[in-house]
Amino acid sequence: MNEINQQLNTTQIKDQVFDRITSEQITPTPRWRFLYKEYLVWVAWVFSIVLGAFAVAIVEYVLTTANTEFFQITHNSYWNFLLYVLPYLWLVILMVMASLAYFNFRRTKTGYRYSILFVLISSLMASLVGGTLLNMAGFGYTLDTAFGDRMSMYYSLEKKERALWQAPKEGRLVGVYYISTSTKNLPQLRDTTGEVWTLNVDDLHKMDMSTLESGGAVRVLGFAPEAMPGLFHACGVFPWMYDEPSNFVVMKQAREDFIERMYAHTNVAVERLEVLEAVTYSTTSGRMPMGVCATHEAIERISSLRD
Amino acid sequence: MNDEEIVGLALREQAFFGHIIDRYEAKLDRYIRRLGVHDEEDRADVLQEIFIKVYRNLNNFDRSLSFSSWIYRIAHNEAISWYRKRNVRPEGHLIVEGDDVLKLISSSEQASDQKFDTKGNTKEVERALNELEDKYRDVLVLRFFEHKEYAEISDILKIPTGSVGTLIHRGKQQLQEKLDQKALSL
Repeated sequence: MNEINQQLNTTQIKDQVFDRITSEQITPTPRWRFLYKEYLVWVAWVFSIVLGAFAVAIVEYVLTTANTEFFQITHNSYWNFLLYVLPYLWLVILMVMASLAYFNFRRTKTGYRYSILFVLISSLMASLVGGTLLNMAGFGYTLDTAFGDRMSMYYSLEKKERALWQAPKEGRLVGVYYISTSTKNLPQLRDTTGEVWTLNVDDLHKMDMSTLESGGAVRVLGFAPEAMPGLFHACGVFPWMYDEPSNFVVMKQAREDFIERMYAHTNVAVERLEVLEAVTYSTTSGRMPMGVCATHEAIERISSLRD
Repeated sequence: MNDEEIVGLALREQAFFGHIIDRYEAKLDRYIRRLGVHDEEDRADVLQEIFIKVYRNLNNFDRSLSFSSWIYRIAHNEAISWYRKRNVRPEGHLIVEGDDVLKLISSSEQASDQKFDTKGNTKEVERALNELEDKYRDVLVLRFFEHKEYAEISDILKIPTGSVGTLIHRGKQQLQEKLDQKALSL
C-alpha cells in the first residue's frame, strides 16, 4: 500500500512540476547568464588581487626607499620615523583587498572546497608576489608619486619627505642651487616655497659642493639664524632622490657618505660655549663661526651613535 | 542512462526531465523529512520548488560534481529556506533504514558498552540529533542516513573538504554527550 501511495505521490509531484513549467512558461536559464556571473566573480577576484598588489608595491617602495639613512636628521628614533612614513592608507587597502579576494574566491564554483586559511594566504601571497614584481619595475614609486601629484589629499612619500625637509627654522631646506649674477655671484638656493636663500658654504665638503652644483633638487642641512634673515649656513648637502626611483644600493651608499661627512663636522675642535656665543651674538660679519655645524641637533644625534 | 546524460536530453526535450523526478523524488522526500519538513503538504511544496529550481538551473549543472550532489545541494538549500521563512527551528524526523542508527552510534568512541535497543534508541538519537547545531546535524544526516562520501558532503553543503571530517567527529562527540546526559537522567 505504501508503495502504491508512493507511486501515486511521485506521479502527483511530477504532474505538478510539469503543470507549473507549462503554466509559468519556465525554461532553463541560458548558460551564458551563469558563465557571465562566474566570470564577474573571477574578475572581481583578480581586481582585488591586482589592487592588493598595488598596495604591496607602494608599501614596499616606502619601506625600502624612505630615506631611512637620514632619519636621524628629522627624528630621534627609527621607529618614530617609521610611524611617520608608513603608508597606512595602503596597509588598510591591502587588508580590505585580501578580504575581498577571499570573499570572491569562495563564491567561485569550486572555491568552497578550500579552507579559509588556504584562500586567505594564497590571495595575500598572490598580491605579495605581484606587488614585489611591480615595485622592482619601479611601479611603487610611479604609483605613489602619481597619486601624490594628482590628489591633493594624498600624502605620497615625496610629499611627506618634502614636509619634513622644508623646515628652515629647524635647519632644513629643499631646493635648487644657483649662482646669482645680480647678487655678486653669491651662492643661492631657491626652496620649494619659492623663497631664495643666500648660502654660506664654508663648512661644506667637496662631496657636498658637487651635490649642490649637480643642478638637481637637493636637501640642505644647516642653520637659518634669526639674526640674519635670508642667510642659510649649510652643514651638509644630500640629493633629493625623489625625481626618479632609487634603489637599495644607492640608498646604502648615500647613508655611508652622509655619516662620514657628519662625523667630520664633529671632529672640529672648538669650544662649544664659544661657538654658541658666536652663533647667538654674531651680527656684522654675516657669517656663522667655523665649527658651528658640530652643534647642530641632528649632527649631535649622529655623533652620539659613534660614542 | 546516467544522470548526466539525462540532463543533456532534458535540455533538449522537456519530457526527459520526468526521469530526473522519478529517480530523485523519493530520496529527496526522505532527505527533507530528515532535515525537518514534516507535513506532507509542505513536503510536496518543497519538492515542487526543488524540481522547478533544478529545471531552471539545468544549464548551471557543474559536471565536475556528481548530479546527485548537485541536486542534494538544491534540496538542502530549499529546506533551509522553508524553515527560515517559517522562523522555526528544524526538527528532523529520522527515517531509519537498516542499521543506519547502529552505524552512527557504533562509530562514536564510547559505544561499545552500550546495549542497543533499536526502537528506543532511534527516538533518543533523533531527539539528540535535533538538539545539535545545524552544521553538525547536516553532516551526520548526510553521512549516516544519506550515505554520502566526504567529497559529496563537501559539494552538497559547500564547505571545505577538510572541514567535513572535523564536523563529523565533533558532531558525533556532541551526540554522544547528549545521549549520555539522557541516560544519566533516567
